[in-house]
Amino acid sequence: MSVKDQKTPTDLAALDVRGIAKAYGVVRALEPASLVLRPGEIHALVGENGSGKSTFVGIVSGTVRADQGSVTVGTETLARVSPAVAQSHGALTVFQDGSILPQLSVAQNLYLGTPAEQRPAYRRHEKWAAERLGEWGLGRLDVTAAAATLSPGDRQSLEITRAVAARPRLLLLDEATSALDANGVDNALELMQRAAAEGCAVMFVTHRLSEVFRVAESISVLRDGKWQGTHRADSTDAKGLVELMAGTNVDTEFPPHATPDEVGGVVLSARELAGPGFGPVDLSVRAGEIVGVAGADDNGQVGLLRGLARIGAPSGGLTICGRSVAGYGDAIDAGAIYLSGDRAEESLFRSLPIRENITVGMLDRLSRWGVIGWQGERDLVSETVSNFGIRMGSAEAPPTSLSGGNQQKVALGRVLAGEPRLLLAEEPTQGVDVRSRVDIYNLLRDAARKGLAVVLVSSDASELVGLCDRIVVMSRGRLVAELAAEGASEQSVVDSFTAAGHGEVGPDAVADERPAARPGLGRIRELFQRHENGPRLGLLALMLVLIGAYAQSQNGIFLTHANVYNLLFLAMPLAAIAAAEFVVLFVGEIDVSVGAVMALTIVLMSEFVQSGALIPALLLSLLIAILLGCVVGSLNALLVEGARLSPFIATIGMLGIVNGVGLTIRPTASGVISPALLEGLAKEVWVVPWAFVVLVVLALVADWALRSTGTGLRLRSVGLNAQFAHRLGVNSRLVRSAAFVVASALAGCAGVLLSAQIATGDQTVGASYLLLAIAAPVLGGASLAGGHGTFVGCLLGACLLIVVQNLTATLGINDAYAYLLTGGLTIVALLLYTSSAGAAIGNYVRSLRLRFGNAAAAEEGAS
Amino acid sequence: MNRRDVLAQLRTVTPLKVIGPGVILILIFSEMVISGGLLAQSTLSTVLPPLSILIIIAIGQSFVVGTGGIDLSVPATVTLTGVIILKASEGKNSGLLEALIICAVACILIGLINGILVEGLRLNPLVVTLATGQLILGFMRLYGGEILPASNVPPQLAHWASDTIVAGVSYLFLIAIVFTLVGTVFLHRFVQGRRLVASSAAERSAFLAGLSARRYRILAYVIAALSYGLGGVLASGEVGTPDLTLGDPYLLLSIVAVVLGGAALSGGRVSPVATMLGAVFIYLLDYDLRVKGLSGGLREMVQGAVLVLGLTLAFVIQNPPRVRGLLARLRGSKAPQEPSAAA
Amino acid sequence: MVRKTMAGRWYLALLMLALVAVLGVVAAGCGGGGSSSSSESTQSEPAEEEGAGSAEEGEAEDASAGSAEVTPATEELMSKAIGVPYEEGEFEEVGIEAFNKAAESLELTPAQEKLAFECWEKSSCTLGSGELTLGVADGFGGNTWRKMTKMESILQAMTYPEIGKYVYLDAEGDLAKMQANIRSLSAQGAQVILTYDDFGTAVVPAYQAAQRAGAVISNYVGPVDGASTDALTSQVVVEWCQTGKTMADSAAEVLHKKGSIALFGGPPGNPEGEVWWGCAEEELSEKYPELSVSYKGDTEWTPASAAKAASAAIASGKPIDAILYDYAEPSINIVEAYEKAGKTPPAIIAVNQSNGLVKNWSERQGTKNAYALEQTSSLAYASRISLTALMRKVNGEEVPAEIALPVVFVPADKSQYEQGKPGSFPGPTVLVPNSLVEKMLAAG
Repeated sequence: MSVKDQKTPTDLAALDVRGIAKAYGVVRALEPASLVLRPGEIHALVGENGSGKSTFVGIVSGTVRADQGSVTVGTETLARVSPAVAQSHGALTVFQDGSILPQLSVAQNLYLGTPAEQRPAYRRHEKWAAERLGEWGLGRLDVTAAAATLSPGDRQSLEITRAVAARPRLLLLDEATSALDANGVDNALELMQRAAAEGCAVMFVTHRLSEVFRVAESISVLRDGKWQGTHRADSTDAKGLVELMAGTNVDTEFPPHATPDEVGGVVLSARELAGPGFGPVDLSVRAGEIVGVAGADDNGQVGLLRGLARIGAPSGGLTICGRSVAGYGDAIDAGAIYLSGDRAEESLFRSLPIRENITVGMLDRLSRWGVIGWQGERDLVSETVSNFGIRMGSAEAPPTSLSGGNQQKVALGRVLAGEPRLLLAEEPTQGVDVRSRVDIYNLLRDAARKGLAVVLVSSDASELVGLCDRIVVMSRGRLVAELAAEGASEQSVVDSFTAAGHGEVGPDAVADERPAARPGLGRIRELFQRHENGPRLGLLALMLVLIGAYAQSQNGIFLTHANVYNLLFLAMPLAAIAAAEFVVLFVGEIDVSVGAVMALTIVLMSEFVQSGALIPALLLSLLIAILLGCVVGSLNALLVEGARLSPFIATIGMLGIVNGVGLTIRPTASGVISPALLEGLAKEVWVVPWAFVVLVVLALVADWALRSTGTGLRLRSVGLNAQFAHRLGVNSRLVRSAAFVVASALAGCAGVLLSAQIATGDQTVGASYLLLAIAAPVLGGASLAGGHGTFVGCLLGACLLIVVQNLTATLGINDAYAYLLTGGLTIVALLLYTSSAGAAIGNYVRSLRLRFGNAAAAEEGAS
Repeated sequence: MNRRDVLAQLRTVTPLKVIGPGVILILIFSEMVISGGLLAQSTLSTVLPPLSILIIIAIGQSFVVGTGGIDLSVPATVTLTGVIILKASEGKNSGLLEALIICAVACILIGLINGILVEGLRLNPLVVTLATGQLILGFMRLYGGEILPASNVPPQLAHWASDTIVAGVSYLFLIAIVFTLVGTVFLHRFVQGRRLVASSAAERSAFLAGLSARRYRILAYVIAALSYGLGGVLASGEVGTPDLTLGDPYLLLSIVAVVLGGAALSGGRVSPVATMLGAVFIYLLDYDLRVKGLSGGLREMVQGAVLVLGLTLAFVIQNPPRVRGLLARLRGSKAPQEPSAAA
Repeated sequence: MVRKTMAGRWYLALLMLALVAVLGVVAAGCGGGGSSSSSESTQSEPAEEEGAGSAEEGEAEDASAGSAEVTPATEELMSKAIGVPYEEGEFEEVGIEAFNKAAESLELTPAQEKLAFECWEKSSCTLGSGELTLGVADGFGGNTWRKMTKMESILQAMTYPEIGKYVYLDAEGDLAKMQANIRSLSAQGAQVILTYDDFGTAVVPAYQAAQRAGAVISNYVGPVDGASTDALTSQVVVEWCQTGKTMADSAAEVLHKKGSIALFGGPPGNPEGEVWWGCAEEELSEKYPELSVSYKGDTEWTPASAAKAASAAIASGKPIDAILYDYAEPSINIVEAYEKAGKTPPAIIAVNQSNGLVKNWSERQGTKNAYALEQTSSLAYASRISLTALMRKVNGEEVPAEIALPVVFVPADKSQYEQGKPGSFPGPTVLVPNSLVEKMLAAG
């Protein structure tokens, strides 16, 4: 199949990949690879972790930019592949780490990932989703439920169904069955066959060979980024594939298992340990022993491993080396150390040199009176480098310059340098080449021989069998079996947890708890999470009413016509500029130049709109505002999306430039603006300035559009998770660029509103809006992370800020209180709206309770 | 090391490689602009004190930027120290020590509050420091009262802040240099400093490596606030009559200096030396333009343009393939688009 | 080594490119700046004419209005306020009436003193049982001068039984806040509003809105460019052009008509600066051929910005023998910048008065850093005249649209220094009883 068929009619090849390659820095993730897929063909791409499979799929699906080569889907050669382009040509992808947005409902997720031409009108999306899911065997899911409430397996099933149901020309599945139990896998494979029967070319990436032989017609193998050829499924067998995947040396040489006399006393003992996604679990581990934790993906293995280090404050008893452990700090003190599988985020310090990565845990030993000695540090580094066989250029380079295997050795070197007594290692050989893998096995075994107890989680059954002395099997958060490594085989390990998967599930099984609605507080919490805006707006309105009532009780003039009108008139420009800032915040960016744009609009108005009747002057002003906004917004977008500057910095730069232009035109407040325009803008409807009414109407319409249209949903997806949105075919860069332009244009319009107050060209008025423009949307429920908040919230937030600032004037209190209230309200809003704040407090309280409880228990034991 | 590695190393842009030549250029430029020469006593004596204060404050900001945060409470903190100096010392030398102690306590408190809110409660640093800035201003007004008992700082502080060691080089500059060097040594050779850097650069990794990462990150905010305090005290001494605008220039300037020093706003190691050079660059640029008689507006424009252009250039140097690709796309964008438009 | 130089060349080339680009921007900006300032001057002309017109109107009314007596007590008070003996005609009629009222206001019972002090500490209070609400909208209330004028306005208000409530709002240098404050005062029914307008014309629409809603407003120490009586009923003004000329004359006297002069002003292009700079230059070129303006510096009227401007002036290498500045207080920082640079400070001729500057000056007499200093009065009494003018208007009398203050430059004298008062204290020309001043200063 790897032969190029030059004369193949194009309608026969669903996918034609020629010579694509990719390197990340010095690491060659994928060497030139080619592949042709026919319609209706199911093709498996296999390889070990880190062999380049995901890179290959990424290039074809458009999320990874190839260094060279071409991708042809159907008849089109995709010049610059992006997920949107790939999807428009009928290529859909199910990604390894998913693209389900947990904050959205099932129906919304389905809607988002379905190609545009198959989507119904948005208002019918729930009905459509229910029908579609029913048609493809997922009718049991509640389409209105938040995706966050689905189990990982259901999420993956939803993704696969979403892609298959769209009847693509080409379907790519990247490790798409990892979270599925046996039933789920059956279902997924069936879906693949169904798609293939309809003429879709399917390529699925996996490391589970059993699945490969059940459905695949042809199989390609990748090893260390090199294409190992394509084979027909019926002409090869599992052994042959394993050989190709692992290289010539199939039987990875594992070090010998521990002999009984090498195993010492109990190092770790856990009783009734339970935490998120696992438990209760009893486990004890002895010195010199390597214990493997097996199980289908996401059955609580990692949760348990973390629990064994008391990370995340699990409940239950935990003793390490005879010491009761109440927190990870205690665990460390007792001689334990945790090695995460997430090298980028959790085990390496990417921005620090390799030297500092290695020595970070050893600083006490290397120092005298708190000062680190040069020689000691150098010695430790060179010792670790040679002991662990780390191949590198310079110890001063960051670890990102190394290959995955060497990175892992650096991490392991750091961990083992401290001579711990217990190592808890998560996927220690993930993304590691074969040679380094053997090195790592030997290093672990050597350490064990010196008395180290090791618990490791691995998704590689051969590794568990080869390296570990004992294997415990997890299913749905519980330990369901224990195997001695002697005599176990890969197959027996896999069987043990697949069998458990099919077995009876207790009513209290942890994995099942997630989809079920929790009673009481949990249910309310969930409701608030799904409908966050209602309570937030209510709270804001309540605060406004309370402050207003207080002000009215203190000074009867608060609710007079003149005062209410005055407050709204003052709030008008702030509301508009808050809305402008909100547009950028909604897509997860920030713009500090809005105030300056607002001011520059007024400056330009003082040059060009000095006279004229209301309507022409207003139109001209708006034209100026929007033109200016487009120019500044485009520049912002260019800097942020083109030159990849941090939005904060890029817009600081623009702030300077815009202010500079304004100050050059009007070094000081001068120039007049058409009096007719100013008078017109100040006109009122009942007690409200008419422009404010327009703002409210626009905000309501915009909010409706954000919540109730497909376009709004796509915008929101960019704010919630730009990467996922990109995968789902939303052009998130375009969306963000557009957000900058719209924000600047709105800021310009805010300037037109502000001109009713200022009436003269003055660039400096923008400065005071720099912070307020951010505070108002935040009060209104917007999050700097994107995807949250409402325009109406911005309006209410702006009103609240203005009322607070006017308390000095209305109540005659010290203006210090206005500052205190502004700052205090912002922090309170942030606390209420940031769900992680609650989680952080909860965690802290739990860990305190643990510590306190343990101390009490210890005291009891002593007496 | 093979040729490929050498090339790769050449292409890696370290902050010092960019800001170093930048500072040299601005020094040459300044030498040409300033009539008596940059190194004349008259120039140094007036340039160095405010520059030194900016350096100290910017280095403080860099501690927060290193954690991936941003601190907008700088101006409020700086202004607050000015008010404390006036209020607590009543302009007398005898009250100076007490004032300094109150400043230190206030700054530690501010740092703790910022740190706990951001790191302990996981709130957004930008909004938190924006809000605490308002709170500080509020408390400052309550504390300061209607009128301050003195408008001049204690003469000792003023005298000392304006005294020069030799040829126009003031004590303030010496302090800034020492501060930079101590900071560098602390972050590189001291156990606590290393842990601070590690915790700032990668919180999860540091936590799993057994460091009290969160405490160190909170410490970063405290160190930052103390630096602003030091800067504020020195600025009060330098100005002699600090007012409520004392801190205003530092809101964006401190961030700009840190960024010009090559720091990524996403966090990671931040170099005090590079930050110092960043501060030197932006301050001298402003000074030169001022000497040239450019108006405030033009100065602001040039600063904004330099910031944006400089960082864009750094991006271009760092990503030649991407830029080449972009150019190629611009040239050839028509060709592959046409068939799809037809279809 | 090789790779370092290679890299260096790259960056050098790129940075040079950046520099060229920046210089390009600067050049373009300079061009733009030039053209825009010329267009501005043409625009401001009609505004000036308008102002002049209304001033004339005011004078005409002045003649017809009733007269106020200058009693010996009033004359003494006026002399104190100006800093030199009062000469007849220096104050218009409203001014004289204001000083009569001021003299009245200085005889305080302990209860009154307490009331005044308590009111001064708060932002709103009740001064009497009258029906009128007096609002004060201060553009920037954060310095001692403003605190003193606040007290002067309170004391003056206490002499009017019609005034009941007193509300003081500080915009803290924020234009939007200033406008909000004016509108809020009006919304709260303040019929009499005093303002110190730090923002010039920008606040005019807010004034107009407030006056339409029935308030009368007066600005003390103006003028606000282009504000006619529909915005400000009456303004107490410094005639900046005349002041500029007087400053030039004072400088000529100090320098013996020979030398170089630097002009320092507030934020770039602020209207009063433009006026007095122009008039001072005109005066110099007309009368003193051997005097020239060698440098112009912008400050934000803050200590730090004055120091920066001074250091830039020193670095420019231009000869400077005297500095004319429209704000005395930050001049200390100018002096210090010179000392730091190892240079003798030039003569300083500054508007307003600063206790600290006098101290600074007197400490340097007889040393190598001795410099000549001339200041005006603090003009802190201006708010009193504003209030009196407004109260006349409320009581149905006509008031002039502009009331000019005498601006006299007085050579510094050691007796001007008030021991024990802060450097920012505006000096002996403040018309607040000393016991009250002490109490205010202690209240911090």
